[in-house]
Amino acid sequence: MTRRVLACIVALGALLAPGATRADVSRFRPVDVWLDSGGQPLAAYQVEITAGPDAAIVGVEGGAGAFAEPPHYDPAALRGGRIILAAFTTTAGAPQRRTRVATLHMRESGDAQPSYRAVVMVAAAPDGRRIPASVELVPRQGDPR
Amino acid sequence: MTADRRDPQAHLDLLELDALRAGEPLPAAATAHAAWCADCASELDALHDLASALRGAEATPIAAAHLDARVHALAATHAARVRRSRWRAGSTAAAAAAVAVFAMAVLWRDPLRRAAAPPAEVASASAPRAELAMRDAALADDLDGDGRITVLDAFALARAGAADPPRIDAVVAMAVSLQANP
Repeated sequence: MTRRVLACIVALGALLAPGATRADVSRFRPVDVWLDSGGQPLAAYQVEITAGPDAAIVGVEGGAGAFAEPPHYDPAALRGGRIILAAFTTTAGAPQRRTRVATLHMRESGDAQPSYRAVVMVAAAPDGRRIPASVELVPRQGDPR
Repeated sequence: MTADRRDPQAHLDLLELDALRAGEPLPAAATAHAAWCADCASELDALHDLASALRGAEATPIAAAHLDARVHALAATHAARVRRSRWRAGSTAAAAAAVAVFAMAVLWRDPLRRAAAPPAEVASASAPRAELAMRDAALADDLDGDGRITVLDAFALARAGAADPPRIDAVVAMAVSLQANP
């Protein structure tokens, strides 16, 4: 009888083990930050990005064109789920079309893809005038680890 | 050190050696011991070398400019918060004093109105306005006057070309600071 009970416990553990470890699996996923200033030249922006509890920011990369350099951010945001990105350019070539201004590198856990949210705090044209802009986060394919 | 200085094992301890290095007065026995003890002389030389190295390191900047700027931004944010909290404490005391004076005046003029509540709203109504004024003063870098530090303030500095890069970096650091943007 004791052997049967032990065998059941071992079998139950084997059944539960994969499910228990699945939550510990993490993957790294780049999330592109796109800004669209609606045809007006974009010279400065500041956006706030928040991620769900199953994601942590582990890196920040620059975007394209005038915003190829990594944006400014608070290093305290790394390992957390909230970050404020900001950048400006005083050179010619401010993008007028939808442009990738940065890429966040996220570490995700859990089975489902975490939720991401972004808000444009401010955006400005080269003359400093505020302009409307929209932000879009585009997660790329994750890299399981 | 209380051991017998004639004892070769009774060396000077670190505090005595450093006092000797700095030229501070020591008991004659300790000075005499250091004069003939090769071990203590060696330790003393090492302390001299360490002090020289530290003096050299002090003259060399150990923080990059962008780190200085970030520290400046965080310090400014913290200072503004402290100023606000101090003002709040002061305004509370001032409001309490005003209420007390008003109550005394009312009681003195009309003893029958002792039960009447003092108009605390007189004091409290002015508090938000003064607090806003203090906050505005703390936002010295709010160049566009929108009530907060954003990248647009740094952008304005950069476009004007009058500000040095560390100041611009400091303004941007405050704009993206999670602490300053709770």
